[in-house]
Amino acid sequence: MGNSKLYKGSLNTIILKLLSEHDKMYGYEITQKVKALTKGEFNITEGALYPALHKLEAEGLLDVEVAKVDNRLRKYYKLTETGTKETVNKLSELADYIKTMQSLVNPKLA
Amino acid sequence: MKVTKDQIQQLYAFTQKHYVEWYDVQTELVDHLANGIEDMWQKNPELSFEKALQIEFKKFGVTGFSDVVEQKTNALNKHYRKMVWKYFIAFFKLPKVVMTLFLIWVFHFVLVGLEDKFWFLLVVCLTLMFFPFRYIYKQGKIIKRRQKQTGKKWLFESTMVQLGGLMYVLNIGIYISIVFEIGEKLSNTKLVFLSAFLICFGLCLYVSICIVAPKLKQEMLKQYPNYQII
Repeated sequence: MGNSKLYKGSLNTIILKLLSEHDKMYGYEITQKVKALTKGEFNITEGALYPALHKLEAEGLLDVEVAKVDNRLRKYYKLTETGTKETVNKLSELADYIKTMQSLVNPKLA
Repeated sequence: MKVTKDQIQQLYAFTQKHYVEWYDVQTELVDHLANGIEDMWQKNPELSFEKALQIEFKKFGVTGFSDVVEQKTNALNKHYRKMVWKYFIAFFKLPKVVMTLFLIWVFHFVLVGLEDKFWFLLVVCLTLMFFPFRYIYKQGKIIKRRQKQTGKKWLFESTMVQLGGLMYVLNIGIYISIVFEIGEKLSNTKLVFLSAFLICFGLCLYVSICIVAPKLKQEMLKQYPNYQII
């Protein structure tokens, strides 16, 4: 958790990637999924998740659907067509970034 | 163990107490808090609802829900402005650009033909001023009526009334001195510029109020079936 600042810059990419693997997801589900996948190493804070989701929605990358679940309303997010294309771009950018960092911190592996 | 219907209402009241007055924002936060509380109950069924709620709320940090509300407002304003730009720019592409140029030409033709331009420009400016004021007044009444009927306030409606923040730019009063200054001079280039400016200003108002606002309402209705267009 101490290095969560390093993950923050990739929050949008993480959200887009998760949504590309699921039909639709809601906020809490995203936080729990990230926690499980990283074995608790990265906790998305609520204060960072929702602003990121709302920004991606405003940019037209996410579509929203509200459904009644149990006794309350739940807001689901899913990728739009533009969002699907952007996910590919963002993942490629992230892969390049990781490669560059690898060559800087561990030249032998690069 | 699941959060009950009454507890859901308590969660709505809790968000309201923490300065989230918008139903569309409250709904997402209520579901998040309820999920967190239910997860805690799985591990510790003895935990009280109030205690679990406090633990879950602390996860939002020292600023509470204010960051979420602020960012949501910014995102909605941005979305609104993006939509305005998309529809506005269409008036400068074929086939609509023909109509735009024609309107500018007609306006310029009338302006050049008039000896006393002051009264004409005054009527045009007052019309451009009246149009958004009438819209704000009507929307304000609708919002109040809806709140009275349903007890709900919607952030997206507040965004609509302020035209996504464009209200401060689309106020002809800011430019009125420049309009009259240019209008009184006889330079043709300046009159062409003035005609183009006023037509574009009118188009931008038209797009914001008559195209984007109804589209946003439709989007909201699609997302929240319990939102009723009055």
